[in-house]
Order: sequence, then C-alpha cells, then structure tokens
Amino acid sequence: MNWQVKYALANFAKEGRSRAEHLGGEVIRIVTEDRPDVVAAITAAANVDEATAVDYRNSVEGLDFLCGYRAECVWEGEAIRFLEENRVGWGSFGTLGSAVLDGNANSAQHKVYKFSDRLLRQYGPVVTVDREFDRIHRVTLRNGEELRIGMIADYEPTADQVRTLWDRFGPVDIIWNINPNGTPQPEANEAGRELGCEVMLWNELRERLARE
Amino acid sequence: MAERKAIPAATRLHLFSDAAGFCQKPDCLEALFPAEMGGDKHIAEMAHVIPHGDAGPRHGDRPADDFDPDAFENLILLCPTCHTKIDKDPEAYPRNVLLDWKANHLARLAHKQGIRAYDDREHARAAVAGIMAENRAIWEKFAPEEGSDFEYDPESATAPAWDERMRSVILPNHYRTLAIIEANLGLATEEERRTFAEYQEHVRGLSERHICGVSGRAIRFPASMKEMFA
Repeated sequence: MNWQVKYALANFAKEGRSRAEHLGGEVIRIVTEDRPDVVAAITAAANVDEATAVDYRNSVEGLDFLCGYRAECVWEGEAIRFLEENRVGWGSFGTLGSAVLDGNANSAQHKVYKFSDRLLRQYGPVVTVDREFDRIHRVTLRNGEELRIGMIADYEPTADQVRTLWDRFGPVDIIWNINPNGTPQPEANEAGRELGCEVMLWNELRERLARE
Repeated sequence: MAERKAIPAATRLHLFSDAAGFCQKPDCLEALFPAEMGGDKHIAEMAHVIPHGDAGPRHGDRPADDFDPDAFENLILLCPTCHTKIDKDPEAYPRNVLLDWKANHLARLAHKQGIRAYDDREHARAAVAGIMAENRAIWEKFAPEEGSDFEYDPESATAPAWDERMRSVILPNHYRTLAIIEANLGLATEEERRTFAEYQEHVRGLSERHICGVSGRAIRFPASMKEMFA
C-alpha cells in the first residue's frame, strides 16, 4: 500500500463521519451513513492524462471517483472530459471528502477550480470554453477574440508562481487569481507584465471579457 | 441669528485622534466605529462643552475671557446616547466633569481594554487569552484558504466578510494584545519575547495588507503565541 492510500484511509478514520476500507491496490471504499458508498482510486500521479483516466475507469469496477492525492497533481482537459462523460468524479482529496458527505462523488469536480470553470461557461460574453488543463481554459469571446486563461488559486500569488504556471503550461493571455481573498503580490503583477500577460481577479477579468 | 461655521477639519481630526475611536464618557467608552457597521462608518458626535448660545446646556459655565466655542478645548467626542444625556441634564454634567473625561480618556480606555501591568503571569495570560480566542474563532470560519466557510468561489460572500472582520475585529484585537503584552513584557521569558517579536511582525504585515493594500509581506501567526504567559 503506498503512502497516498495510507494517508487517505487515516484521514477518513480521523474525520469520523465516514469509514474507509482498503479494497486492494490504490482502491478504497468509503461508507457514510445515509449516503451512497463510494469506490475511489487514490492515484499517486502528478499528471492525470486521458490514458491514465481510461486505465483507472477500465480497471476499477464501479469506480465513482478518481482522487489525485498529490497537492501538485495536474489534470489534463481530455482526462477531465472522459471522466465527466463516464460519471466518474475527479479532484483532490479535499474534493473527495466533501463529495462523500454531499453524496455526489461520481459527479464531483475538483473543488479548487469548480466555481471558476462554471463562471466562465456561464458568463455571457464567453461563447466557447475549451478546458486544456484543470487550470487552463481557452475561451472564445462574443467579439471573436480568443484568450488563453490560466488560474492560480493561492491567496497571494508570487512572481515565482506566475513564472511556474507559464513554464509548465505555456503562454497565457491572462492569469486569473481565483482565490476570492486573493491579491497578487506586486512582483507577481510585474512578472506577468514581463512575460506578456495580465494578472487579475474576477472583477477585472469580468470587465476584460465583456470588452467589445 | 448668526450662521454657525463648520468646525475646522484640523480640529475634527485632532478630536478623533484624541478619542482614539471611542466615546469619551468614562462609563461608556463604546467604539465610535462599530464593528457591526463594517468598521468604516462612525456614529461619533462632536459635543460642545460650552454652547454657542446663551440658552444651551452649561452656558452658565462660560469663562469670562475671550472664548471660542469651536476650539478643540471646548469639544468632546461622544456616542449619540451620551451626547443626549449630557445635554438633557447639564447640571449632572458640568464643564469640569466633561473636561476631566477628556483629559483622562486614554488612561481609562487602556484600563477598560485590559492594558495594564499585572503582578503575575496568570493575570496577563487571562487578559490576552480571551482576545486571541475571538480572533481564532473568526479565523477558523473565514480564513483565506483554511476557514470552514472558505471556498474557491470568486463571487463568494465570505471573502468580503473576512476582510470586514479583519479591519473591524481582528486587527483592533491584535493591537490590544500587542499593548497588553508590551505592558507585561517583564513577566515574559526569553523565548516568549522572541515569540512576541514575531507576533509584532505578523501584525505589521496584516496591517500593511488590509489597511494599506500591500500584499505578500505578512509572516504566519507564530504558533507559540498560544503559549504566551502559560
């Protein structure tokens, strides 16, 4: 049993409302009173691509949720689409914990990016959304403009986090600080300018997307 | 009747800073920027000790010499309730009483807030423990990434609530705690003094972020503060 599975089992034991048992390999079952049982795979992958998602879906019978246990875990857009189309929830351990109590594990999305993804899809000036990664969206606006938007969820994004996102995922037009309490550090804004993108919060982004 | 001039801005500022944001009536000392109003609206009223006219409260106490009713020395900052009380019953609140309130306001305020030197660590701990518990409770609910109500929702109503609580409750509580510990540093161990220095830096960073809008300079709340004077 790898450490991710051990930690997941230990965390459910600590929380108290649910109990979890090891079904073998990376798979656990979580039982919660008055909620459906959840079969979850706890993956150690740092990057979940479509092939990885397909593999878990096909090899784990009754899979409800795929959990990327590592904090740095990145989900590719095609993997997300595959899982959502096949009624498998996806996201962090925190997402799994909430989804088990909400009783919606097989439709849950990564809780860090869920609200922002929905905001973009439901915002009038946005015509299409192509999710390249959990945190990278390519949007087409009503005025025909296409923008690549990267999300940073930290409270006070640093210049290093801006540069890391750029290095890891390629050039973006906008870096969106999606933490509602967030304020990028002045150095983060400066790093964005140097790279050629703007770093902003939702209020600014909303105006930017609505620009005719 | 002659038109009354507005009280000069410098006098008003002087009065507000002298009152430190609290009603100057000693048995009141209520916050003039109430937390429930968001911390950025005030209920303060500038009361004249001696009135402009010959019929107002305490007009009989008017000094014989040249006298400016709108001077700083003749004004006191009160909450609306206390303002009403002193003007409804001027005999109970003569000039010398009001001037005494004003002269001793800061000392009484500090005393009310528990800012004093204690003889033992137990009392010093009790003075800071309640304040820190209130901050902790707010932090556990609203904190920017770890609060129980926190969600990565860019439209979240919790985020403005956190910001409001920070300015109206958490920061004022930190300032009081700093003042109490400072007054009792003689009771602190060497290790606690180091913790206090870290705590001061934490509060400086919070003030920069939430008052001056400069992010990224706050250090974490030192965990050892929980053991201060324990």
